[in-house]
Amino acid sequence: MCKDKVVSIITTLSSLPEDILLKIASLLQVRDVCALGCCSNFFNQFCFSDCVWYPILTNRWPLLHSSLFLYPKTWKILYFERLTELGLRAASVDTFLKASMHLQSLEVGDYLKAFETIHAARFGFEDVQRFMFKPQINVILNLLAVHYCMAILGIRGENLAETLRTCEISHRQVCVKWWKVLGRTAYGYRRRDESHIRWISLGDFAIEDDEPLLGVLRRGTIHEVLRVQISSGHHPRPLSFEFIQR
Amino acid sequence: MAAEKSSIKIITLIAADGSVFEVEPNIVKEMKTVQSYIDELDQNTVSIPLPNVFGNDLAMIIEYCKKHASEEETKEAKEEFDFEFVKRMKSDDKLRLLQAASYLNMESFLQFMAKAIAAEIENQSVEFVRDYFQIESDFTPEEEAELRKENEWAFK
Repeated sequence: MCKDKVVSIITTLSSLPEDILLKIASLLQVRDVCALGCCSNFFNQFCFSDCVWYPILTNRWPLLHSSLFLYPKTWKILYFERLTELGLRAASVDTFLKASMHLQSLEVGDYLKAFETIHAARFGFEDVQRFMFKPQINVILNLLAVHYCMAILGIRGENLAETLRTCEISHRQVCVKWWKVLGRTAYGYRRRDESHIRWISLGDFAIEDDEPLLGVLRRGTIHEVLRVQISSGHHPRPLSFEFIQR
Repeated sequence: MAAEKSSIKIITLIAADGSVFEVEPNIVKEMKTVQSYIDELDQNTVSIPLPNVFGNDLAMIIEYCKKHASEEETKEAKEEFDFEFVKRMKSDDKLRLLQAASYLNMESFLQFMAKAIAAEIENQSVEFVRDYFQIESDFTPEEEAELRKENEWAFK
């Protein structure tokens, strides 16, 4: 064995076997894969190849891949298009919410319509974070996204609350009001409608699993629930004030 | 077969530069390349040449294996060790160890090193990645500008 020859071998990233490069790529975030891909022609070819992007795409959207086999595009382009589509979908929901709100309040029917749009587009948790956990957007879209994570993605509790804190929306507050008819008494008099009001921060909403609140948001106006209104706002007014107003 | 294996007391590993390491059998268990070699032999002492691994790297790998094979060490102590282990390395050290891990077929060490490398470039700029891995750009300025534009979405 010639010592000099051995010592002169320099290990560079591009000299590594492809299976090791793939291993490293599989541990990188999309952003980092793209950064590496912009470094040189070699990494451009490697990082933007289908062997790298197929797992990225199918890990992020497991339900999606079977429908995409037909397209003669690279997996990176498919990934980009899917991301763009979700971004547009989130933006359209945001616009819809803005248009449907009156005096900062939204009726639950419109809330549920927006919820369905998100659900139909099959947002994943990463997509939700990217497009709907932003502190500068409508707080009701934040609420919708948190609710979607709990009800559809099954992400709740401390995990979710931690993510909300990281995204800086945990403290944002919403107000949900709902009115119930209690029916008639035994003497045939109509009883007074019962009204409920909940001010809650998104962080608490994620942790508390408040069944009555989740119930009215999920079902909307059905059975005894006459009306549900969701409003945004940063300062909770005292409860008594709310009751006097009505 | 079992009797043969337990009869081996000391394993000698010879690195590419000729340096010699004597290790106990439990240390090399993780090195599947070495282990399969031992399994086929019927001797008390084994000496194995590893022409693709340098002495310095082999010393580090053995240090890592000793720490992780030890039953006395707590999980926290091992994590602390892992942290310090990669902290003192430069990028080419990591790449060499990664290559050695692949040659020795050490699954968990390979995963550990690959993770350490991935962590280094997490959330970094193209310039940083180039500098870190000493990659020479072979793009024309126009090609580079176009590529950056094409991938802008990923950096938002």
